[in-house]
Amino acid sequence: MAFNINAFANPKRFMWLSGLLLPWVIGITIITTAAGLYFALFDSPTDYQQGETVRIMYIHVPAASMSMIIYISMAVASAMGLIWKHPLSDLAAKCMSPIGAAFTFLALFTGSFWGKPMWGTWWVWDARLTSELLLLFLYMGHMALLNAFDDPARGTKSAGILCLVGVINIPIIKFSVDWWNTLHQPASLVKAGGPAIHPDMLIPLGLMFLCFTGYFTLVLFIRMRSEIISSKVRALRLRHVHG
Amino acid sequence: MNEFFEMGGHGIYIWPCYGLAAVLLIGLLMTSVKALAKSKKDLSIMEQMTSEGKNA
Repeated sequence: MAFNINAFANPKRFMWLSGLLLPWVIGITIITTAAGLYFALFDSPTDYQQGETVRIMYIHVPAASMSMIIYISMAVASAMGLIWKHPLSDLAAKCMSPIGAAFTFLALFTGSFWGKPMWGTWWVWDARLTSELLLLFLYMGHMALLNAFDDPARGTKSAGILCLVGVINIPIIKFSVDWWNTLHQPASLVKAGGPAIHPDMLIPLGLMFLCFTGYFTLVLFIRMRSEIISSKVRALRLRHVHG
Repeated sequence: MNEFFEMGGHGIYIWPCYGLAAVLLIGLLMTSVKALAKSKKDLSIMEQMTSEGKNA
């Protein structure tokens, strides 16, 4: 029997499944946060060039990865919403954008606070930094468009189209360090030939990445459950008024 | 202990990063949890009103 993703796109089934998974997601998030912070702050070496500032990496790199992964997920959800008109996909995209915006802002802020001691400047208008800033504006535009129309369906459609057009920015962010000369260092994790980083630093990095992924799943579930319940309340209210 | 917070003179750059991460992520989690609690409360009120309407 073929796996049918539509079977899980039913709000009732989503409530059941997310309710079942929530305690596990909470557990994994708490454990990876504790372990990740312990290794990042106490049990990982300083960098031979960057000294202690390397500890910013354990927030910066996972946050930047999440900013792109969430955007891609949002684009997939938006595409599914636009093509199959599935309300749960639109709901997922709507709930993802504030989380993505938070991670993008965090990546920009931590990058700036890492750039000052290492590069001697808080900000440069180079390809990597500018395209990541554009990503923040795309998230903000998505959130603004969702609420810009009296008819929520029009807002959802416009925000979905903006999200899909903005996908072009993702490969630009990822490959900007290879395509243009930049102050930002080239990829050292996801690259041909495997990661060029010592395992002692890879462990906290991996744990913080898991922590952020767990956090994203947790907040996404909470926000989607809240939206589903709110729409049920709206439907009941309408029935009450007209009944 | 002081040495730990100073982070080799780079504490002023490192701690704001961890601080913002905590404030931002905990803040977003709390607002989401609050919104969920509110929608659950609204639902129970509406369901009560609906059942009262049916019984009346």
